[in-house]
Amino acid sequence: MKNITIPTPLQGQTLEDKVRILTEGAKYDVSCSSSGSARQGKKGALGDCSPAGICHSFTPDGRCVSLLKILMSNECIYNCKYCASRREEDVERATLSVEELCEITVGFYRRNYIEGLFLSSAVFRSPDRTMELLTETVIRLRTQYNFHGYIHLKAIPGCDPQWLDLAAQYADRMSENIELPSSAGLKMLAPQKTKESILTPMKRLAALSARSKETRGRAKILPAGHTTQMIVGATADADGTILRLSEGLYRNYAMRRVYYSAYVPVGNPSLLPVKPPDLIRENRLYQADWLLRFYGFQAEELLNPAENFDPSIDPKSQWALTHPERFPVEVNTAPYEMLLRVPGIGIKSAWRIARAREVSTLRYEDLKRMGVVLRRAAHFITCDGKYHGCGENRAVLKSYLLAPAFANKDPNQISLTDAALLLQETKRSALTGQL
Amino acid sequence: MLIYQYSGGLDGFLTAVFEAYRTKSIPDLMTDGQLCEPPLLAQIVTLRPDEAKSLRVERGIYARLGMDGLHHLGYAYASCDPERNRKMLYWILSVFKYGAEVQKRYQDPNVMDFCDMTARVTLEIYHMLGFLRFAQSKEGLYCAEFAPDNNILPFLMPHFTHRFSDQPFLIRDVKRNLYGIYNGEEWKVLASDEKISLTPSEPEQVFQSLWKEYFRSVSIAARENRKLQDSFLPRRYRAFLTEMRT
Repeated sequence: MKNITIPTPLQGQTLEDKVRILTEGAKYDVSCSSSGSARQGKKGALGDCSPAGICHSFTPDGRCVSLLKILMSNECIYNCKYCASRREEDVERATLSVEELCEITVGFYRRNYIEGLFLSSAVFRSPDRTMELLTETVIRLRTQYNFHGYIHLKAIPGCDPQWLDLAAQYADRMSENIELPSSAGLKMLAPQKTKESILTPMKRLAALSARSKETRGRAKILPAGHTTQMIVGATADADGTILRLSEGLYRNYAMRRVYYSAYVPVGNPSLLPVKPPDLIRENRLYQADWLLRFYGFQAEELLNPAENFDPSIDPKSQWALTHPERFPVEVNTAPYEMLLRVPGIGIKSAWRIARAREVSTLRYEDLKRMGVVLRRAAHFITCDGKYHGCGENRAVLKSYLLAPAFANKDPNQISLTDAALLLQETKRSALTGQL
Repeated sequence: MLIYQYSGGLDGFLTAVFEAYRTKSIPDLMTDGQLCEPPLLAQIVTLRPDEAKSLRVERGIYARLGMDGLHHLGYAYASCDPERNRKMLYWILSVFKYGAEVQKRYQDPNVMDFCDMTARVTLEIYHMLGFLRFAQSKEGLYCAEFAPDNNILPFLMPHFTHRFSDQPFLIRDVKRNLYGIYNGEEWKVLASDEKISLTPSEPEQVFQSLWKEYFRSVSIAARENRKLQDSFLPRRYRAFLTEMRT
């Protein structure tokens, strides 16, 4: 067995200090997923990937820990206003060596703390030099440490595309953050970045992960594809705009996932709003994102470009409320696609209904056992011709669909505790994809 | 009241199921425990495991559902559900009655009770793939302890031997006194009351404190939501998590 050595820390900083500083700098990147890759282990080597991904722990904010999410360095030449590592921010700075990163990753992995590494970095010296060192870390893990666990690598904006091509041969997933949903937002908050400097490498990643589908053989390029993240609430961009951008990325950039991150104020830049992160808005966007990817919805069905989602009701229920002409549907005959559009019926229960009704006609009592949330669904379905709902009065209907924290309340007067309550209830559904 | 008292684990249970099916007498209770006070007027049938009979049940399930059916059978038998035997019996009877169609019968309580039960077992297996924590001993052996609700240790071994193929390890189910052992070549599960205490290696302490530091740092204070954390990471699992110990 390989003997594990602990590298000596430099500059009076302990290794723990560095881990603390560089994790603080990385944690606002919300992607934690370790899914999508079926990288095989080898006898005598370390690690493999689980296609469904595995969560190893959950932090007090309720987020999952799957990967060691860390920066190589937080010393940055850029000064983006939303970023905790920006040049002018007064924070402790630290840098981990390639060696240290590899040892920590492998040490954590062998103890089953993590599924792999999510490596990012501030831009030190130059984009090229940064990307070169990130790539070197990944190559060293794969070759010298014989590590077959999951690796998610950040693409540094503005680096030479050759580094992306090289890194893609070793990483499972790469990502490039859009950060701000419009060029106007970028100009205001990240003047050193442009739409092009972000979209060009993203196109490259899209092409690389498309190649992964062609090469069915062993040397998979980015088996888990590429992803991106947008910060929500730092600029004035409306949900309708954001959702259209996501839809475009899924369609034209072969994006696997778009992550949304409610802006958390860091430092005190005067250009930005100082208020608690809008977690409900973030949640509504995730719900809508799921509707795009798994429920057959299109962005234009859900919102106009300048509109925002109603915080008191989920997007699918909102759609159902505004389309009374499409309901009720008969569960015993409705097409699967239409079942998916019924509030209270998720992917799993729609699939079960579609299978079970081949065996025998479904009765209303059967539905609950199959996972249908009848409180929501009853008003939009008939079961063997019978209707059990509350009728078509929109106000009454809406009261059944409101998120619990908003029930019997003026939506303009929601306390923070309500918001937290709502989030617990809805966040889970966003994570499992059930609406 | 008809009671089947069997012995010999899953083989014995399937033997009892075979007898119930053959004699068309469905027991009210199936148990492999001791009946300290058998109910009055109870008819008790004692059954020994008979491989020929249990194999016929397994073959019957395989013929109708393929390997999936046998996997489900194994997961179900690992369940801690007090109604396990009844749920398994009625599911097996449904398999023989409806064949492959059982997989579509979501409206059937006998089928759904069984599916929900196996789903709880497979969920715990999935949880433990992530929540198990290994510590390296001075001798270089990686050890993990846990106390799962269901008897899932055997189902974890293939995952970890594949993942840590170059790393001999030991997993102990402290509730059932079971050891899962991998020597770098092959694995087995043994029952033993013996307790082991190992001295952690020097790097072990370093990695544990680095991990705790990481766990503290990666949470976002402005988004704290303990209830959400509780719903994903049940409290009963936390005693064994390195990052939850102070």
